[in-house]
Amino acid sequence: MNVSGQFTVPAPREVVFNTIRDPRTFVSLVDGVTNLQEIDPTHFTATFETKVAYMKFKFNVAVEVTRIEAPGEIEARIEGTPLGIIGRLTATTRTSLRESGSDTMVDYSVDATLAGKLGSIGQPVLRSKAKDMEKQFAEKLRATFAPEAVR
Amino acid sequence: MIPFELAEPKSLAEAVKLLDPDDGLVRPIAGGTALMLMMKAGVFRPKRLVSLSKIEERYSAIAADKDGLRIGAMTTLSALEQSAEVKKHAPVITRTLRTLSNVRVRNVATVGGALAHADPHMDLPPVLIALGASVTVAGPRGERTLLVEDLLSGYYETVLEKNELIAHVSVPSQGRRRASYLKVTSGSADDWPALGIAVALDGDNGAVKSARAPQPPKPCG
Repeated sequence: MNVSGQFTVPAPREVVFNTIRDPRTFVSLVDGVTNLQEIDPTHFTATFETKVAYMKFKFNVAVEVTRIEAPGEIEARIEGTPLGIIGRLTATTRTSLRESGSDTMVDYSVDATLAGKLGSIGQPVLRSKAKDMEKQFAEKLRATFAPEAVR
Repeated sequence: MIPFELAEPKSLAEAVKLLDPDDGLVRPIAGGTALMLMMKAGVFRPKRLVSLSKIEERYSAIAADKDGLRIGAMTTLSALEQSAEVKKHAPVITRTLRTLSNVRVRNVATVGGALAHADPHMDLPPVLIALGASVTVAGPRGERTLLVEDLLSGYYETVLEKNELIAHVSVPSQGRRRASYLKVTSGSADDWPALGIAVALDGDNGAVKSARAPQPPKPCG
C-alpha cells in the first residue's frame, strides 16, 4: 500500500530540513509517539499509540534512517510490532523538500505492508489513519514556523 | 482477556440508559461476531458491554406492507435470508445473504450490528444503500430516522451517539426496480468483500429511468 501527499510549510528549506531531521522535534510533531530512544544517529526506537474509531493500536517501532541528502531528501525504514495483536507493520518512507518561493514544499511517500491479524483489520483503515496523521503533522509543522497563523 | 461488566437489559429503553455518552469503552453488543474479533485481537478492551440479546422480541421481527419492509435491528442475517417477505420485497437481499460469510456467522450476526459496526468491507450496507433503506435510531431524547448512507461516517465510524441504538431498518420495496450486488473477494466466495458493488435500477421499456448506488467514500485529509 502506498500513501503519498504533499503540503507547504512557510519556512526556508534548510530550516524545515533541520526540524524534520531532529528526532526529538520530529516526534513532537507526530501524535501518539512516546519513549523515543536514540540507539545511534540513524537508529531509533519508540512507542506509537493510535485510535481508529473505538479500537486502540499500540506499536513498538524501530526506525532506521537509510539515506539523508541535506537539505532535500530523507529516506527511512520503519518496522512496527503491535502490542497485544499478532502482526507486523513494515514501511519505507521517502521525504523530499523543494523550495517554493520563500516556502518549502514537502513531498512524502510511504510504502507500507501489514501482516498477520493486523492486516485483517484492513489496509483502507491504515490509509485513512495515515491521511489524518499527515494533516496533523502538517498543521503542527506549519505552526512551528507560524504559531500565530496556522494555515 | 481483561474482565469487563456484562449488562443484559430487558428493553431497548433500558439498554440506552446503560450506555454512556462519554465513554467509548461502554458499547452495545448484538450478535457479537465482529466485536468479539476485535476483543480477541486485543484492539478493544471494554469496560462494560450492554448485550441486546434480551430486549423486546419486536426488535427481532420482520414486518411487511405494500411500501416495503420494517426489519428489527436484532434480526439475525439467517432470519433475513430465510424470510419469505424479504424475498418478495427485496430479493437482492436474499441473494446477497447466500454468500455473506458462513451460516454460523449468519445465525448470530444481526442487521443492526452489521450497520453499527461500520466495517468498510461488509456486504449488506451497499445493498441497503442502493435500495434507499433508512434506519430508525433510539436514544435518550427519542427516535430519529436517517438514510443508511448518512449513518456511515468513516471506517468503523457512524454518526450514532455513544448512547444511541439502531431500533429497526426500513427498506422500500424493490417493486419494479431491478437490483444486483457483486462482490470480489481475495478468498472463497463467502469471504469478506475486497470490493462490493450494489446497484438498483428503475427501468421502463428497456431504458433506465433512474439508478441508485452507493457513492465512493469522500477523499480523506
